[in-house]
Amino acid sequence: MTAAVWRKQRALRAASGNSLGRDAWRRLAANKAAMGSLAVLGAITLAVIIGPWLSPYDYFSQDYDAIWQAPSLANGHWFGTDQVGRDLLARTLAGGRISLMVGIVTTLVSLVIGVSYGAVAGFVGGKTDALMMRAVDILYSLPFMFFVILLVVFFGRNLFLLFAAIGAVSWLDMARIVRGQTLAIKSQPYIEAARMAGAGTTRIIARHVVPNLAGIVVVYVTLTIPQVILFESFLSYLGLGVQPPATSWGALINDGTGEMSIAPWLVLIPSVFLAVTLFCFNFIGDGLRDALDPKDR
Amino acid sequence: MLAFTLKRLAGVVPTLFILLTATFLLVHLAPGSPLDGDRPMPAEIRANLEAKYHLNEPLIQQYGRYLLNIAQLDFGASYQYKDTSVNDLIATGFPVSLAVGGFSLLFALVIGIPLGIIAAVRQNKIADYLAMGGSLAGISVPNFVLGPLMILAFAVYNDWLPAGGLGGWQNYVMPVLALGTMYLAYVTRLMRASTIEVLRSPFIRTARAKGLSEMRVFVVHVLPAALLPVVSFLGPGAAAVLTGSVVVEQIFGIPGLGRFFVTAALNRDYTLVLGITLFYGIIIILFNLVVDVLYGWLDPRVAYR
Amino acid sequence: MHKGGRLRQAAKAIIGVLMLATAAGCGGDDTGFANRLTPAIAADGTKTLRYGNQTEPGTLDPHQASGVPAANVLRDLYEGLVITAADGQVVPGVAESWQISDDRRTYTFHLRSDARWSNGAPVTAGDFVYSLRRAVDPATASPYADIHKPIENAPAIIAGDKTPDTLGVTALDTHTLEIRLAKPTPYFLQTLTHPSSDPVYEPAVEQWRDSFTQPGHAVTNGAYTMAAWRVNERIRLKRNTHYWNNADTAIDQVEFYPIEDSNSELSRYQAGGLDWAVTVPPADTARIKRHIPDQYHAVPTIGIAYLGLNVRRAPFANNRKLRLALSMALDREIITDKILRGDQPTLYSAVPDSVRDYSPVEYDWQDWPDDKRQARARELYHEAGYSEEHPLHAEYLYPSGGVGKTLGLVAVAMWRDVLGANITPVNQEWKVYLQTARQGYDTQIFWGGWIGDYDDPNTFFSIFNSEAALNYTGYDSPAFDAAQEASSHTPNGVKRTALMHQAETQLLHDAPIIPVFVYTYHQLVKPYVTGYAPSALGNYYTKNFDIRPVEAGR
Repeated sequence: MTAAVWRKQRALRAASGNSLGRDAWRRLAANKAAMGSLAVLGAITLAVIIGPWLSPYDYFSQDYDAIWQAPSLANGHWFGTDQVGRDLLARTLAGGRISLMVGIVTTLVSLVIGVSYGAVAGFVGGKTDALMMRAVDILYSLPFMFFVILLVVFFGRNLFLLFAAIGAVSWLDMARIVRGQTLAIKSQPYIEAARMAGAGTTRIIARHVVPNLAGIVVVYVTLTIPQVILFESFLSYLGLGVQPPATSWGALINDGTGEMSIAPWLVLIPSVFLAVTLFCFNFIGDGLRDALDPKDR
Repeated sequence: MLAFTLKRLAGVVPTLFILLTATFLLVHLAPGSPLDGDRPMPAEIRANLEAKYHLNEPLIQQYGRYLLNIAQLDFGASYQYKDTSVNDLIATGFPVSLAVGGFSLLFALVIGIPLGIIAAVRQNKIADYLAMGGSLAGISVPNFVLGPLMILAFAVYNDWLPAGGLGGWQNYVMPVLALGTMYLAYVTRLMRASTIEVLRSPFIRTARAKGLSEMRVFVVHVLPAALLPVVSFLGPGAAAVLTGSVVVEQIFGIPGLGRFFVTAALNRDYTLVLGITLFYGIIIILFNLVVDVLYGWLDPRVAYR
Repeated sequence: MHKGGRLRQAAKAIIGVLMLATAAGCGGDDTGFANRLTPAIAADGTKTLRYGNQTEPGTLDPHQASGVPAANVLRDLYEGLVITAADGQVVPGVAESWQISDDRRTYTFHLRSDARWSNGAPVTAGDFVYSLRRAVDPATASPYADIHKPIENAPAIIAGDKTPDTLGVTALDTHTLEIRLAKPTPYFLQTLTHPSSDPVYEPAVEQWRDSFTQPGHAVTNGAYTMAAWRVNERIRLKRNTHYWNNADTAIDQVEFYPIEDSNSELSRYQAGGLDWAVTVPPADTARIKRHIPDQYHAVPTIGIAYLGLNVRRAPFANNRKLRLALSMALDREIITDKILRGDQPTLYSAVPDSVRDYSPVEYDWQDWPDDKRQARARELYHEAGYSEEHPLHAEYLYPSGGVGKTLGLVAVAMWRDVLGANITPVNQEWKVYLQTARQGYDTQIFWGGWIGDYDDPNTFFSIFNSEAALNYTGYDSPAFDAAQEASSHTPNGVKRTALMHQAETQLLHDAPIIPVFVYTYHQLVKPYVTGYAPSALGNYYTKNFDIRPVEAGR
């Protein structure tokens, strides 16, 4: 083994070594936007978890004398009430449980499947790439609605299915983007170096390809979160997902749209929650990207 | 590149065949039949209808019959729109979706790419925050909220634009904005991230070290490489946007392909669902082919090995 | 400024934009209600009436079509032997007059000699013979073929046992048509107002087959004929210059816009793109009634919204008291006044009051005070074997979207509050719901609705016949079947009314359904449209309308 290769290998090992996690965390902690977002997101998470117990109203009780009440501190409905007099605060919190869970779990599913699939297809290339990408094309074109309907028919309704169904579609875009980036990365000198140093395909993908995808992946993940949160309400329509009177932010926004003219808060408040969550994920994502980026070292 | 393109085209037929078969199975396995309606039919009338549409035959026979038609490029008659053929429906719906989608895409790209670049170059400056804030807002306001809001603001309370339907160019303004906003957000975000990424990468440092002008470095080296993720996204993204968005078409009363597809799926209009799926599949495959060709063109680092 | 501050600022900016947009959009209640009055009268005086029409008709073949939107268009395109007046009464269409034989089984129609197809050819008795045969021909596979079952041999033809030419319909001469019935049928004339009884033009059908309805192919005998059809955009009709009463027809063109979303439809109505809207979003009803009360019309139709109870399986099989308890626990006034808000009449019977010449039997507890009614409901619930310790567990099935969801949510809450019953709402996508309800293996409580085919109580009773296709409840009562069948062949009069009351009393007693409210059509009609009169059947004919120019500055 020549000295040059040995040095390169050592440098690579250092870049991906044990200190990576601690280093990254230190950088992340220094990022105020990311930390602030983490705090806000933590507050929202805490609110949706314990809020429903503290709220004087539950998310399903109807009050026919308090229909479409505007948000007010005086009447106790801080966020107002809906078409059948249910408290929107209670519903927003209850809906947040589902939406945050859906957003995070399915995004993780799409992240794991999409990144590994795309990276493998792009890195291995050739026939494997062609086959894998044609499979993505087919999945992309299939009428997803029928897939969901059949899922419900055969397996009934449960939360796991919901994650599976959303995860099943949301990784496709990710896979295509990751593959595109991998195609560009794989001819980079540091990959050549790793290959020459005798690293196996799996190792190169895991250690050298994936970390260099972080920037784009993180952005795409933050773009995916609001999409899946809204997508969930469509699946509920097909009979998967949450059933009334339970709700989600997507369902609240969807239902609220029809009542915009008389009760704008019904669409506004859940939208704000969705937007704030999205901003938080975005800043955390950017922070993570900066913290993890191997090129910055 | 030509050999590559030809090889890919040869793969189209088997891909479409698998797609068609899988879709055929999916739609026929799904509960509910095109014949189910508000008003249920007495058994003998249902039997007459099933006979008329060959729904009483074994599935494999129906499939054979369908393939035979497809081979002659005939997608068959629609179950839902009985007076029209699937070919005609796609032929009338696609141009509308194409127009709305095409302009939305144009809107997203023309604004999104420069915006993303500016945000990246001025990273963590006020321009960056504005661009990012705007694009995040664009994603968090779904088009089913944005559309009705625009209608109220521009068509109902002000007489600036028509509230829906087809007509002149005015009819396209709101649908294009409603559909394009989300894509604009995607393009801006991706463009910013990848530009930042590329600006940091070693080969740009090399190019700078060679003493090339900043402008030249940007146009020749940064831009093409930075466009890569946007192009990846546009493969399926463009196919989806050009074949219509049911939400936008529904809100603005536009007779596009997206609305046809969802109505067909809800009505179990087997032939129309299959026809549009196949059509969509062809477009996806074509776009992804174009994307792969573009990769090599944009970024010489991309190699197909 | 550190990043966190910028984040907060950005978040504030977004919220601000959102609020601004919403405020601009909703305009508040006091800033007025935009409603442009812009009748479509061209410079040359061409008048166009523009209707919202909900969904795109699947077909405009009168013998294949189904649904209200298709019927709306077909009424302008084709004219049957008889049509309806605004009050629902059967009045002459192509037939100027008719006689009914003493045994009530032979109808002789005298066709007007000036009736013409849109190509100028005369409308003859032969056209009706061809069309009615086509309607029952299994090869046509008309979904409404069963409406013609009263006609001699029709059931056998539909079942494929006899050929269509054996149908009891004969052209006595060019302008005289005889229809023979198997049994006296008091509502037979009403069935002739249905689009499925419309004539079609044989040469066009034979030449163009499935596309005979398309502009350029279509030959129609109504006041209008096809001009353009772009699926999911609009259907445009133009004046049929050969129509016998063309001289009195004021509107030159009719446009039907398929707009499924009621908010979109309202926007287009307000913006002036529609003269007539057929839906009103419940959330906007109050505003509309306040600002444009004269344009808002709530017309109860011959349709019922009910909750079905599957009497074939637990818990509702053989448990009449439980079924009745659920029915009595519902506060229908709250549902219609506070939740639906569309001026729907409450329903305590199987037949709505809007059906002509019939006063339905109604539950006597409809006028009880709430606590008495609820107390009785609880009593029945306990007698049925349920209690707080042992509450009823069941599922309520409804189709995604639509009123079934809202109604179900409220009903489930009322059952919980009044009885302590534990009912789970379950939604299914529309076609899945239809199949589940039709098969009846899994359903317990389900959303149901029925809009009558013709203006007679029999269209409601017949769906609960044990043999009926729509009998999703599995209701099977020999007493009810006997009364229903007898009433459907008894001439109108005291005896028939008694039989119908007997059937309805039995049905209400057995309670396989929980009647909730009467389906109500909502129309918004611009004030410049003249000739509008509410029709419970929803049978509007554009030939009766006109539009007036509006003076500038409204």
